[in-house]
Amino acid sequence: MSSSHAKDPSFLGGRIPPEIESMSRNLKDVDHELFRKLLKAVVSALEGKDCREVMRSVAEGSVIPQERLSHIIAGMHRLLSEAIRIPPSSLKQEAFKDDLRMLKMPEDFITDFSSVVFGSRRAALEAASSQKDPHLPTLEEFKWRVDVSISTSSLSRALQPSVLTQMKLSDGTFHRFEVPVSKFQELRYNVALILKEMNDLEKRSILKIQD
Amino acid sequence: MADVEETKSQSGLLNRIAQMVYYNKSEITEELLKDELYPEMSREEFKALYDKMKGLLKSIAIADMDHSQLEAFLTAQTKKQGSGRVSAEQAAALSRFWKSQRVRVRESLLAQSRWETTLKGLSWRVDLQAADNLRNSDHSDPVALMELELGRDGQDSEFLCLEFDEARMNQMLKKMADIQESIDRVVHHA
Repeated sequence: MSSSHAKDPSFLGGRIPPEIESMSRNLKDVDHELFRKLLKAVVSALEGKDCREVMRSVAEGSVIPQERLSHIIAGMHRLLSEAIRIPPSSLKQEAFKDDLRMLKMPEDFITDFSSVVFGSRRAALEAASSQKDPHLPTLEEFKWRVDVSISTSSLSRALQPSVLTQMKLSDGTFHRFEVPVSKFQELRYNVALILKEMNDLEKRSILKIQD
Repeated sequence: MADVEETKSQSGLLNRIAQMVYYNKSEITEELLKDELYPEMSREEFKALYDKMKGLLKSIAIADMDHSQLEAFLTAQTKKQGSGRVSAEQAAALSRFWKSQRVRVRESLLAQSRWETTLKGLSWRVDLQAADNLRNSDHSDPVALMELELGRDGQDSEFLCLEFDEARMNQMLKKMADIQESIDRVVHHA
């Protein structure tokens, strides 16, 4: 037997997550067709789509008890999430397959998993998971209007422009507020400054995190 | 000697009136003012003086008078008959006061007619995303975090925290340019 260097730890870490172990056990005597249906549903879920209907119909059409199916689904979800986390430069397809072989899964299943992780759908999966990052609300819509007050009860010739703003945020909230011209200048100046900072950061690439 | 005192009292009176009416410092009352500035005057006398000065100031402020308008106005007031007449010292005090406080009073009056929530302040920072628990980051994109302070007078402000990537920030800048263009057009026509 040729001496090989010690195998790198599985991409799943030192300890296989329990959902994945449970999945392997429950995949015994699951046929390929069912496996593919489940995998397809899990991939849809990871892409952010609502899969309850699909899951229900798969469960109903199958002889496998629901509890076993849920173990499989949980495991698939975990396995794919972990795999997508790691950049393809760090986890190569063969290593991924080897790690799955350690789980004693049928080769067909391994190929299917691999084609999800290293295939064309990966980009969609990555994009969807970045949506779940913790983040502050973003600006979805910005409407504005410039008003000039001609006269007020305490100033007969006001002639003062003002900017009325309505923001719609990604969390669904609306915020309406007025921006006096002086504050507007300040806002505009700062926005330009922020952009300059962002551009500079990219040019300098202070932190190049490479694996 | 008395003249200097009188001048000080006149200026003091006007300043205090401004603080009460325009700058929202309401701890000052007529009573306190009288005791501070004109202790020997009777209550009625002081009230007449106070009302007169306040009225004059209001006329000047509402019209946002410029120098020539103010001079014309004050001259007319000094030529009046009876109790409405303004003395030369009073006119001088009003003139001095308005020269230094005109802008501030105007700002205050404009602010008084802003009943909506306004943007009071802004702070920001730019971060580089290094890592997160869901996916890797080969590409560390800069992220801008902005905190907007929105509020109304007399109420606590609300702080709005927003996140922007570069694309969104660019869009914001473009909108700001559009708004600026709009303001410029309006200002030139006014």
